[in-house]
Amino acid sequence: MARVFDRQDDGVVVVIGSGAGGGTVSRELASAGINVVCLEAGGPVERIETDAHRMFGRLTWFDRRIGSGDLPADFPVWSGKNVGGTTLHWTGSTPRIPEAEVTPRRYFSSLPECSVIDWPLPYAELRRFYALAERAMGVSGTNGWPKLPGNNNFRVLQAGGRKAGLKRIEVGNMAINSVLQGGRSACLQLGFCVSGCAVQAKWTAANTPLAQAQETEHFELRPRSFVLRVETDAAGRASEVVYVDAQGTRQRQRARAVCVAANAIDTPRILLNSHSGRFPQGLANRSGHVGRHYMKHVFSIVTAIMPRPVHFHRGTQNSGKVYDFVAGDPARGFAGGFAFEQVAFDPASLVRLARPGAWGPEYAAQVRKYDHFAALLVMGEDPAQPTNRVTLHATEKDQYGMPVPVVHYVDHPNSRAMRTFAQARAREVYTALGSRDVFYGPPPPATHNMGTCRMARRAEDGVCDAWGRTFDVPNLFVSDGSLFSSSGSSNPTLTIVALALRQAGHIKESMGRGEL
Amino acid sequence: MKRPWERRAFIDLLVRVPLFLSVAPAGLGGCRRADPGAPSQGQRACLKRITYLMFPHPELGDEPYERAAAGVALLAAGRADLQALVAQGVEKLDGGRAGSWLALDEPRQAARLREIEAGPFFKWLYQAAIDHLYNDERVWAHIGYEGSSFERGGYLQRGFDDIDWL
Repeated sequence: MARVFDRQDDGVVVVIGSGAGGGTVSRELASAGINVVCLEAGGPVERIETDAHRMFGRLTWFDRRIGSGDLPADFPVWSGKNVGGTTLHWTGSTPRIPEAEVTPRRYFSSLPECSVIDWPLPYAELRRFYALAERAMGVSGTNGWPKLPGNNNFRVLQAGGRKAGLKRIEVGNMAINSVLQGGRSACLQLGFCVSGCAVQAKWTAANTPLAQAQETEHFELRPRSFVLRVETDAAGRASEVVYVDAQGTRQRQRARAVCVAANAIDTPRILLNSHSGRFPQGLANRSGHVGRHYMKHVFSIVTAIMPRPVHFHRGTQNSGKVYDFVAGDPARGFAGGFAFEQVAFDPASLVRLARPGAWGPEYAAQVRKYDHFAALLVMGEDPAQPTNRVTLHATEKDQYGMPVPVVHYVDHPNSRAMRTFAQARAREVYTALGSRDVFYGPPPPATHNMGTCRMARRAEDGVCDAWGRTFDVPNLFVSDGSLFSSSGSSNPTLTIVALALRQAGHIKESMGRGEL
Repeated sequence: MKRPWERRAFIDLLVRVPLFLSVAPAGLGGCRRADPGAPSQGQRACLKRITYLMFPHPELGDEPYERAAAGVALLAAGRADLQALVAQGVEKLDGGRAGSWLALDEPRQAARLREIEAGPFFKWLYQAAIDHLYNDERVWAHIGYEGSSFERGGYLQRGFDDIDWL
């Protein structure tokens, strides 16, 4: 039932990006009878291979991005470029941001050099949409769907955690089927979650909302359509989206409204690149906040060689969680909290991450014990800093002729203190079971990218209102992790989907009232 | 069986990306062709020996290192910049006398390697060697990685939660 819309059709909502946010907004609007054209930079992924190495090559956004500050210069961010966006790569973890974390000024406001704000919507509102998002995504552990079983890596985390005195150790809620549901298989514990799920047990924007949108008469997906700019009309409303199509030809799609959901790097990049006489600093950037307050969670990878085999590669990669440290405690010497999440790697990745740069007989002997490794990820709350930001490079352009984004990020001293503390607690988990080799790896290039077009109560504090509508342009919305007012300490996708559901409802109502 | 020598990596990435995950080959396999710009026999012997010294698994024998070095050499084939990187790196190890580094004993070879480990040749080769050595099924079997489980129904019935020593 694929529809094709005319590029001159100014009755369509143009959604830029087909990931968690863009996919969800597309489905919600199309199923309400609103015509949607979704422009996706990447192509469709036809077949998932259970090969981490090859899938990394197929799913990853390799277009040039420049990192600065603490980020790797050439690969600052790890996101997806394909139909479904980063949801083909994501782990499926769907924790809710806890209530205490939507008002982070209570504990972060004393940090110097920060720009922390609270979320502009009541938690009860977020809670309502979390419930809808969990239902829409088929989250195991909610709505009567059982939780996934824990695998070996989880059981090490659980046993070691208990010995180390931790209490809140659990298999988390996951957008991975524990039972056949939503037309998708139950999890077979393949162990390749972040390489794309070969049995589609994992929710992705491609296998659920985009597939649902395509069943309507109101949706057109245009893959390999790379957006350069959003143009405005004489009234200052978003009127056209300029993109490069699959043939490399520049095209224009007229629009009734525009939802930008291109990930927290490319969403501000597109807005900044949409500067004009009326919007000289970039579109929706009168406040100067577009691209600022980039947050990515305080990460560390902790790996350990256990005394006996674990086989941590078997099964769901990221389901086990420890929530003891989510509630912050100033007595620890830093503000904010963090979670532990189990994680596993294929051999080449483990060699790179366990002890980066190490080589020689000692390291080879450690790598030889691949099947004895257990691992977890530290994931902590990242305070917004105005100088951590996405900008456009002054001269460098990518293959589409668009300025390359520069992503600048420096760890706050609070984050460094948090990481050090968290690493020591993680060590205790594994030494409690007799491990004598625990390694602290560096933060990986971020997949959790947030805050660069944030929602705020007041226009002087952010780019969007509580609906994700930009303060400056009434028919321009942001529909991805760029919206986050703060990072929380939770994986962001469930919140992206919840906000997208809420925003789509608002768009539908506004259109119904003739306001949009 | 994977055939790393048939995998042509995402060459540019290997050079510019501080690789987090393996980045090679999505579907870029191709035939080897005679290329006047390929590393020499001597250089390839060095690549192989360095790969071994980086990650020595003596029980594996020669073959995986031969394959890894062939894969790494293929990356450099036809690429003037990588060609030069390899040539300069090997020259540096040899201290100007071709073949002299390979003739050293293992501790001396390793000591020379330590001297160049901060340089671009070593850094490049380190990433490339990981990519090629540790994406080889023979090596996987040796270190206890079972690879794709999809064909066998996943690990659901094959030990995803079989740990028995906790």
